Amino acid sequence: MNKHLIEKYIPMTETAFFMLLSLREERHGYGIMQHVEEITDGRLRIGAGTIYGTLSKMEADGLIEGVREGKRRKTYKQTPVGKAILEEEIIRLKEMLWVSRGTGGSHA
Amino acid sequence: MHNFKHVFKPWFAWKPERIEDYLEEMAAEGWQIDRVAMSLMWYRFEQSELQRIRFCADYQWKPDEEYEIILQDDGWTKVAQNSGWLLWKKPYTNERPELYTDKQSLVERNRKIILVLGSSLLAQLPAITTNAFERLSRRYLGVWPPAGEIFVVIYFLLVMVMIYGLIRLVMVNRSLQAIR
Repeated sequence: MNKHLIEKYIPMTETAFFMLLSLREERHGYGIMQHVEEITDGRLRIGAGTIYGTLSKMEADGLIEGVREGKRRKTYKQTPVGKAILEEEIIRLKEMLWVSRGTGGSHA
Repeated sequence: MHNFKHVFKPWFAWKPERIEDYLEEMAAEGWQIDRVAMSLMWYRFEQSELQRIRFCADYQWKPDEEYEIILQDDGWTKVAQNSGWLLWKKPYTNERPELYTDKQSLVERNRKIILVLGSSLLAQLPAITTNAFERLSRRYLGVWPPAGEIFVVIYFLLVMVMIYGLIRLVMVNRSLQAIR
């Protein structure tokens, strides 16, 4: 995988992580905001400026692709590259969780 | 009966909170924006009911349709627009809304302003240098037209403000990145 992209996106910010995660399914900008708020129980409300900026950046880097159909809102979806980056981050998160729980099982 | 108030409120790219907070205070006192002019620095307010409104000044190189749609979907209304700067407002009751909720996109937004400010400053270089040579040669030739003085002073101040703004913006970005 593209080393430059891994360096740029991993470790991932919470915003980028949840945005990329919610783009497993096709959504438009505001749809992403709502979905992220929903799956984080209202904890994470991403600002519209942040959504737009992050979408533009991820699209330029090929992590997501945008589709515009006629007059409807532009929608976005993960690309295989985006999926791979997200999986890479999940492996990193799992490792952190695993280590913090105590690999030997001697801690609660 | 309309009750108007005209205000000139200068603000700078490195501290948009100055204008954002001011407009919010005005709205809270019942002053609604009626007209905007002069690079979002001159305002005409009209007296109306008290309102809680969050104002945000944002910068975009080329604000495309997509940008405006996302902000509008989230309940923002465009108040005014001038050379890359956009002023947005959103009424609220509980949590004060923000356009940028993460440091990274704010840093990237500021970078755009730094680039624009930096390149327009670079474009001034030929003018600054030729002007300086002309001044010097005139001085030593004994010609000193006082008519051009004011222009030179204003120009010099403008360039200084741009340099200062550039430094401030770089510092803002540094501190944003330091507490990542």
